Amino acid sequence: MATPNHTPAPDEAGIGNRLLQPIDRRLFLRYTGVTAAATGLLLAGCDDDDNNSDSNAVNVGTGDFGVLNYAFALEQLEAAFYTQLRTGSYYTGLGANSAEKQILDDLALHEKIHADFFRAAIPANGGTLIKDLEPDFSSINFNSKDSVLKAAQDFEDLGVAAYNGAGRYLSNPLFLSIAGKIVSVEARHAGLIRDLRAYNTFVANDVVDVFTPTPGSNGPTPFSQGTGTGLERSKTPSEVVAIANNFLKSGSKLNVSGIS
Amino acid sequence: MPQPTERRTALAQLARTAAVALPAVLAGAVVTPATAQRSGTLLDALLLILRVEWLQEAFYSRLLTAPTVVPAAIQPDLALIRAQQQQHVALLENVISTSGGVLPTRPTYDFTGSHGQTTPSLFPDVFTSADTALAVAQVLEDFSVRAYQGQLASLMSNNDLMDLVVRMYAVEGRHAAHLRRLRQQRGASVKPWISGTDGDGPIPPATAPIYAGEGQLEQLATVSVYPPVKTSLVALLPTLPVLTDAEQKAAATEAYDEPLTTAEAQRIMALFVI
Repeated sequence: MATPNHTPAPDEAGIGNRLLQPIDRRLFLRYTGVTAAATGLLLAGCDDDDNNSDSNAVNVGTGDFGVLNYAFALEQLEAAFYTQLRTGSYYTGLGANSAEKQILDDLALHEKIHADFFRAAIPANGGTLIKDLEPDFSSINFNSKDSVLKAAQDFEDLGVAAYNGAGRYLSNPLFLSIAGKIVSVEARHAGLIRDLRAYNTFVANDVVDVFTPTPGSNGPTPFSQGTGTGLERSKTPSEVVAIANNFLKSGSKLNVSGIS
Repeated sequence: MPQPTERRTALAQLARTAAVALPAVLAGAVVTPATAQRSGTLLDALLLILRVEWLQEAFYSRLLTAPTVVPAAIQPDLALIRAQQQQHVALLENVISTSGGVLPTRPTYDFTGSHGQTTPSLFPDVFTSADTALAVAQVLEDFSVRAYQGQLASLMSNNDLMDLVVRMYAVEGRHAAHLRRLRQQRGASVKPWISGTDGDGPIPPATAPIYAGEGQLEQLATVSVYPPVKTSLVALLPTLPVLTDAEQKAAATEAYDEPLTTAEAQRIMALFVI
């Protein structure tokens, strides 16, 4: 825990691998509120015959329910992350009233609410839930502030990019509305975590296409010449799961080939 | 407002070929034809969002005009945000005008909220007190998030335009969190996310309309099931001794931003227009 805030040690992930056992499955399931009955749910769209994907993968399905299950999966991953970080000495070493503890506690609750909302809403509308996923956070060192906050930033940025990229696949306005209510909160999370790690990086170029004006081009219309759009970068579902699957165990990795 | 003929042209153009107006990163994407019925709300949505961006851009521009009350240490933060609002303005104006829409005249603003000293000031020291200036900046960012959100459904008929707008919308969320963090570091009791109705905002009662409706404890969970099912967000959380009732309710409201209707957004913007 002597790791300085702004100097990530290159071997942190390796240390994490040795120090941390994967989260106890019962703990994860208890946190995410799963019941014994729910663990037996069939996968949505499991008749998909995409031979290129892991045959063991969780297919999120098609149509609006495919998108909702995709969101459910990402929210499960985030919720599990904020639960597991509580086992690490970074979190347990935070003062009871420290700003970081309050922030991480808030984030854990928000993501649990998001995940459990989808858990309720998908079947309430006649859809079939994907199963509860088993995370694999072995690449994260939960005893290191930098490792934890870097992972938090990556998950939050990924969540924003995922919601933005998936909006076009929703056809029901109410589902879009729900996604809209959530994505701006994820953006608040992402901006805040970035500022915690490195001040004023809340809209850095890796997540927002920052406009760079052409030198000397400031005419009557500001920023009329240059590159960049001021838009959040978004990711397609397949781009997102290529990252998310690194944090899911075999049998819990996602297949989003049905979303189109 | 655009004339009827111009408006019809713009609607048709937006429905068909909006990608032409989009920057190169978006060009080439498949444009989904919009239904005629939806086109009207599509242009209206873009015009409303443009007015939201104009409002913010004008505020930061005025705020950063020397001599500014903003401490030197955080001027770069606000300049960065302003630059992104300007990009959003440029993009929206481009999309609207190249689709045949007519851009309205930019309003003249009075950020004291006194409508050119014709009504009592809501924020009399907005450009002389750094705390008030940052409070109004936060309010405008939170307003922007909620106003954008209220327009999303109107953009569903054109996936490229919706994609453009949601990506601006997410940036507004990042701005809002940053402004809130800045204020927190100056001693304000505020989280990066809206909690309940945030005590009617940083300067009640003037800021109350921007936070009205944010305190929802449940969300509509069904779309075509009658009667509609609402999910209590509070019920999704563990109870005492883990969380107090107040903590549960706070988290439930923080986890979701809430949309403003077009009428609500227009009323709030009118607070700042002469």
